[in-house]
Amino acid sequence: MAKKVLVVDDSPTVRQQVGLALKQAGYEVVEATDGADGVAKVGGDPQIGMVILDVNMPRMNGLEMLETVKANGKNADLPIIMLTSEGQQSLIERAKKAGAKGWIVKPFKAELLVAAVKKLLVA
Amino acid sequence: MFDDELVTIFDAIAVTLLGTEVRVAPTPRDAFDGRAFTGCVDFVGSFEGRLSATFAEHLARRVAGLMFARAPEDVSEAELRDAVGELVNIAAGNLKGVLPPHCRLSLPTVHVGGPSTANHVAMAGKAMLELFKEPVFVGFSGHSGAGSAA
Repeated sequence: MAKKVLVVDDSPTVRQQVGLALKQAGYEVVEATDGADGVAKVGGDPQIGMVILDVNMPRMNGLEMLETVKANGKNADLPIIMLTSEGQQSLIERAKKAGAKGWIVKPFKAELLVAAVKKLLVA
Repeated sequence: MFDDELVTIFDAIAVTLLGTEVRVAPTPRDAFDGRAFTGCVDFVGSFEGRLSATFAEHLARRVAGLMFARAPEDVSEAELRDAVGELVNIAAGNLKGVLPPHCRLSLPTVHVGGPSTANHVAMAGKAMLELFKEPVFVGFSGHSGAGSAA
């Protein structure tokens, strides 16, 4: 059964690029358009095995979504990778502290993202 | 001035996402006389400013086609705007790394039209580029803001 990955980004362009790379690698992909939508999707679908999460989004940003999702003990083992244009150290440290497993800076190479997903889904 | 940083950033984006390099080349006077799309991201906080990049419609459509893995003619205007906005968003995020800490980025906006000629008083950089042999004009305006104290 394909592992299900949730891609959270307000940009359809990014959701398309990430989704295509993951589908070509054999994963099933679900999309969310912002952090609030992402929280709802995680809560509503126990099959989601990993989250790829943008930071700068309307309504609820990626760090807020990360902290909200991880505040629920059920999601303690859910791997979350931040995928963002920003590489600011204070943001990376905040994400790590909140439980993010990785931080990939855009522009990203699809194979790097897929390798990170594979590594975390096997672990 | 951040001219060199702008070239480096946009080249990295082009190579990684579009499979091609950019070239520094003067922007022809009539480059954006037809329909053009300009993406903008604002910086707020320790640095107050705006990054923008302008593409003629046919280039924007070609870029969006590559990013959506579709033929350019099959890309909707909404998708075209999003692709332009995302490119500028990525550039802004990378540029933020060389600016004073404690500044935040806005969400990208995209308008139909050429580069803004306002705010040249506070120009912090510009880059006249060629992508797929088509002009791209990048403008960066701004200054250290009130929130610049660490």
